[in-house]
Amino acid sequence: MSALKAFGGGKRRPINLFFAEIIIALLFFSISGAVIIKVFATADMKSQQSARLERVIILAQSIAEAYSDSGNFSRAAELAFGGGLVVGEPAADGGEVTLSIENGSMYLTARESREFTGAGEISSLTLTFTANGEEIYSLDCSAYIRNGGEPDE
Amino acid sequence: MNKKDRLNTSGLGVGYVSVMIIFAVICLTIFAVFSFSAASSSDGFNKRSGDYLKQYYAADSAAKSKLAQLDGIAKIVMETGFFEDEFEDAVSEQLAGVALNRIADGFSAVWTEKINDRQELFVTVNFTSGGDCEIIRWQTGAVSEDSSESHLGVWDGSF
Repeated sequence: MSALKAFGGGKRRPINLFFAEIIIALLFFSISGAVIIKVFATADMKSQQSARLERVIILAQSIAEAYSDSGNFSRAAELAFGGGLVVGEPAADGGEVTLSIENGSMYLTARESREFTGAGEISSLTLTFTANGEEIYSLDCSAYIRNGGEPDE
Repeated sequence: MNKKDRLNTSGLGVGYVSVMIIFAVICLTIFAVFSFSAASSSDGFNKRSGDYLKQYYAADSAAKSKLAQLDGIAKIVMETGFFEDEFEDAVSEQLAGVALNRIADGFSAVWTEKINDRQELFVTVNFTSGGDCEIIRWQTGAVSEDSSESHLGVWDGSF
């Protein structure tokens, strides 16, 4: 009975049913909104990660294709990133080079190893893309350059 | 009309706000689910694309390694002066999975490297007694399957 009075049944202090409904509806909307905004935020984050992965994959493929042709990482990186990029060559005995890309938001680490066969040189390159200390993508590729068994100078 | 009656009859009725709020929440939920689904789909596609790239370059590296071995064998055999006689034997002894076909002035080496369950890398390289090594084919193709397993199991009319 007292509850009925609270929702407008009483004569002393009438509370409109309309406002009670609005309060309940707003409560429901705010809870639902919080969940929905979280879903939107997760979708946006996933979309950004996906776009970054896509860029990284294209970059890795570009470097791998250029490397397959030349067997030279600095040349491959120049072709992939455009002119003006000065890239050190990784040491032949498993050395690595780290490049800062995308305005410093990502790092590319290239690890290269070379093996001189009887008739040429086969070199392997491992590309690792990292952001915030976390690996995004990694790709292994190789190149075979015929040079009569003589190492590149 | 007293004050209480005016409050009840003017503006929105009871239940209208609830209906509108529920409608808005349903719409927003649908949009959120669609956007999440699109982002998830795009992410899955990129991951599959990245995995395929890794598989392709693994097969490519294996093929290049085999090419280097073949080239090394060709060079050693060529130094003996009996290229056409010894190359085939040397390859069959040292490398598995490479088919050699005779061509004018040399051999054509044919092999495949598996990329995944559905695709292979087909490679054909010509080695000549003059020391030349020419890549004729370096091509991705579908895995050649047994025809009896690949077609649909429909009735062929026989009892």
